[in-house]
Amino acid sequence: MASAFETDLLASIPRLRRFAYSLTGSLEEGDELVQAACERALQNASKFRPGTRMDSWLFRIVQNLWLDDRRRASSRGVAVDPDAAGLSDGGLSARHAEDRMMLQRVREAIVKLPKEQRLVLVLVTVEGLSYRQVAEMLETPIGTVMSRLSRARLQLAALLDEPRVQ
Amino acid sequence: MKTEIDMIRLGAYVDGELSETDRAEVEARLDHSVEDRLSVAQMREMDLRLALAFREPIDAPIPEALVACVQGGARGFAMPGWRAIVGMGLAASIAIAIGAVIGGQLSGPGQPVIIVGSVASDGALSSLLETGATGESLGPDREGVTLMSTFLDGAGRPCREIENIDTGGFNLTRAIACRNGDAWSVEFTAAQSLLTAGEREDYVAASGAGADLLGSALDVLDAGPVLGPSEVSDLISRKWSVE
Repeated sequence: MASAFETDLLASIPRLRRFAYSLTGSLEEGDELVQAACERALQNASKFRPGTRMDSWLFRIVQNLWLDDRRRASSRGVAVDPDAAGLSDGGLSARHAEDRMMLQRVREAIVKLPKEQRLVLVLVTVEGLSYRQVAEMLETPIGTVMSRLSRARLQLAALLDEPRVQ
Repeated sequence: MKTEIDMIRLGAYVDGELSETDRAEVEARLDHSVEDRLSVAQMREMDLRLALAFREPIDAPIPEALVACVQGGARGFAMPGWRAIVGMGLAASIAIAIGAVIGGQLSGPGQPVIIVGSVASDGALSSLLETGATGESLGPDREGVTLMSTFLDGAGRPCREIENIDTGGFNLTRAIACRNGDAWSVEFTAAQSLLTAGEREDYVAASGAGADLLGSALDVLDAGPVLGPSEVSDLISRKWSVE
């Protein structure tokens, strides 16, 4: 019989997959990240405090593993392959070819953002966390969160060749 | 042209993060500024695209491998590419490394920057351990030695997990430093190759239960829950007194 912890963890998987997908730009890589995060969460289940937000705790595990992986990839000069990432779109995200192309461009562009900007942008716009929640999760001043978010939006618009009106 | 502050404020408006007063001010400004209205519209459109671009996992069933993982079918999984260096300093077992406070310096090529032993009280590492918030690094943008988490061990000592990539970028060192009295000492280190097995023949992959050395170290230390930012800040302000 599954424990309450495992039940809650399983219920969090779709959001964790979305978070990991948006960080890596690839469903496959994202799922590897989520699997590693699940393992880490289960190993550290005794450290989770009932009554606190499990999603924030899990997001933090995913984030730390992803940052670890980025460092290793950076040291090896390995970059995310946007073409490979594109293969993962099963057409569920949009009905029309033009929409799919646009969404694919968004996925390709977001992986080009600096990792700290990417994290903040994803947590706010994709996961819907408040600035305060993001600041607490990243252990960063809220002003830094706001600044990184603004720069991420500007840079993403530039990457999509849609310079922000300013 | 708008300043960065203007853009941050408009972003906060889009994200619903402004107070009622500030929101009213922005809306009054939007009434008179076509550019601001366009900026807000662009941000909202971009947010929508982002939400749609990564929606697939929400709509799709959970892959069986992940269900099995949560239900215990894949225990022992380790991140690909993680390899423990089996060599001098980490030879036989993690239990040897933990608690063996070695005062001297290890030397030789390939050794981790962070080594087991007392941390010099006048050094940068001591300063980081003493006053740094979790996530803080000796270098910019989380480069250099970085504080990963903070917890109390089974004996009630404050301990901090740190990590560092060596200057050559080939090894990632993870370590746990604990506060003994007024000083910090590194009580565990594990270096992991950032290279593949084919790139380094002298590395031996850890396997089975030994793969997660850090996790084992935390178990041996009887590590408590990871402390939150406010708890860490409170401990720092009390110079790590846990009384």
